[in-house]
Amino acid sequence: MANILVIEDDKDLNAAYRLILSRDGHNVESAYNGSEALKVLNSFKPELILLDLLMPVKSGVEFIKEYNKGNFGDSKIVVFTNLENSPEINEALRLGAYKCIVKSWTAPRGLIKVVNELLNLQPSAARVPEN
Amino acid sequence: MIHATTEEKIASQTLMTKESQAKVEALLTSIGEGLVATDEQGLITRVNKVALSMLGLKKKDIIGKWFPDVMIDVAADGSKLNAINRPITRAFLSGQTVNDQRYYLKSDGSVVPISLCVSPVMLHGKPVGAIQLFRDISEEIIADTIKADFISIASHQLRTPLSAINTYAHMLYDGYAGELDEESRLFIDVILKAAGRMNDLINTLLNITRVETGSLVVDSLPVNLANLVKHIVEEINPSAKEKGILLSLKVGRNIPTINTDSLLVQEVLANLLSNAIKYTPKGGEVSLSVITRSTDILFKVKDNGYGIPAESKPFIFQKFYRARNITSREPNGTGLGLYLINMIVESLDGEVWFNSRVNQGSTFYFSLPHKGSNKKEGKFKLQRPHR
Repeated sequence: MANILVIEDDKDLNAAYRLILSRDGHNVESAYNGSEALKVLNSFKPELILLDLLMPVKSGVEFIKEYNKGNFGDSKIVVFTNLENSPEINEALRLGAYKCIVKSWTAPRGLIKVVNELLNLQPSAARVPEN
Repeated sequence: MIHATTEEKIASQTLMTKESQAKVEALLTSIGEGLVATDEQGLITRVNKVALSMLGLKKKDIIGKWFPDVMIDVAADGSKLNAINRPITRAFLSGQTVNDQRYYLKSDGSVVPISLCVSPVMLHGKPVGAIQLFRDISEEIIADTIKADFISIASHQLRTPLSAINTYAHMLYDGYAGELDEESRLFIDVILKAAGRMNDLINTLLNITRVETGSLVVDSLPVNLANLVKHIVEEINPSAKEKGILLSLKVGRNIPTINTDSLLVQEVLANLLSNAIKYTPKGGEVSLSVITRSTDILFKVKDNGYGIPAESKPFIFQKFYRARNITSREPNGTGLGLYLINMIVESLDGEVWFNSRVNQGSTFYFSLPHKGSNKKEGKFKLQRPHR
């Protein structure tokens, strides 16, 4: 499975994404803003970064700019936001984010599907609870 | 009897002409909007004080000058624009009144946003000039921007707790916290449906703000309407079946492909069909039909539901209005659906109307011209609800 970094300032959502992706077999670290995330990246090399845009201290767009400047590898960045058609999204995509997903209506299965598609992996059927 | 001499008659007529000219001048000066008039060559013949003040010009700078030389269209950043689509040119060529919004360059180099209405002046069926009224809309633009920003931020803040409700309810449903019994699943289903309604309401409010502030994108691309109606019926059919309503589709012959905005047309039809299903009792029938007419394509959404009382009909497209006979039957409506439909249809250059009888049903008509919808630049695309 893959290393995934979740960057989300809402503690409840951060915890939920960690749990969902961990249960799918991924190795997940998390941060609550872009600044914390850059520190995490010193010791954690994710294949995929799940990034919120509107965050205190350092926003998602500011994070991508610093990420691009630094020597952090070539993680795929997925923007996960409740904004839509906003300048921040366009800027994030221009700076190299792979995809933007509206999070208010993305169920756990949807999140797992998107993440595994980007990682070219099959969802871990054994670990995803079934109805 | 006293007979006026020829000289006296001429003097009297001259006095009357001068007086009527002074009256016209006074009338034009009193207009609260900027006014510029031209002759048939586009040379400015008349301007009022409001126009001069708005453009930062003096009368001598403008009278006798060619309209495009002094009324300079620019982009919001001050860069000059191609003059081909200038409203006054369109008015001359079409012989029709043209309404538009532009930016004009002021004499001090700054830019003023204006809303204008320009009409050709016709004499004996021929254009002999043009008259343009315009006003500064700077404050309206600022107010619209503040309103759009507020709604955008408020919606984002509303969506964040909604994301948590939705995500955790789904996690419970999917068994992340252990197996659930049937009753627990039913409860979670209620939470998810309520969260879905809240999400749709936020989207509707956002869409209304976009249409009201003119920031909604309207595309003008080829759309196969026959395919579109089939797709919409497939999308809506599950909710019809759930309520025990028979939903049918009838597609007329030779429905053309026209240039319009597929997303907006889908939203109008989906909304009309959802309304028809919502306001028709179990076991009822709802139908969508589409035919082509001489100048337009006509969509018809017919139901045999509760109908609209006569006293409610004049208000049915008003914001937040709900007909009295349905508020007790369907308490969950917002009164925003038909208001939004009406505004979207207007932005598509179409028309929407209805007829209805209480307890017999309603028929809503939606027409789109064969010539299609004009493209409108905007900032945001319509956010369609999750049906």
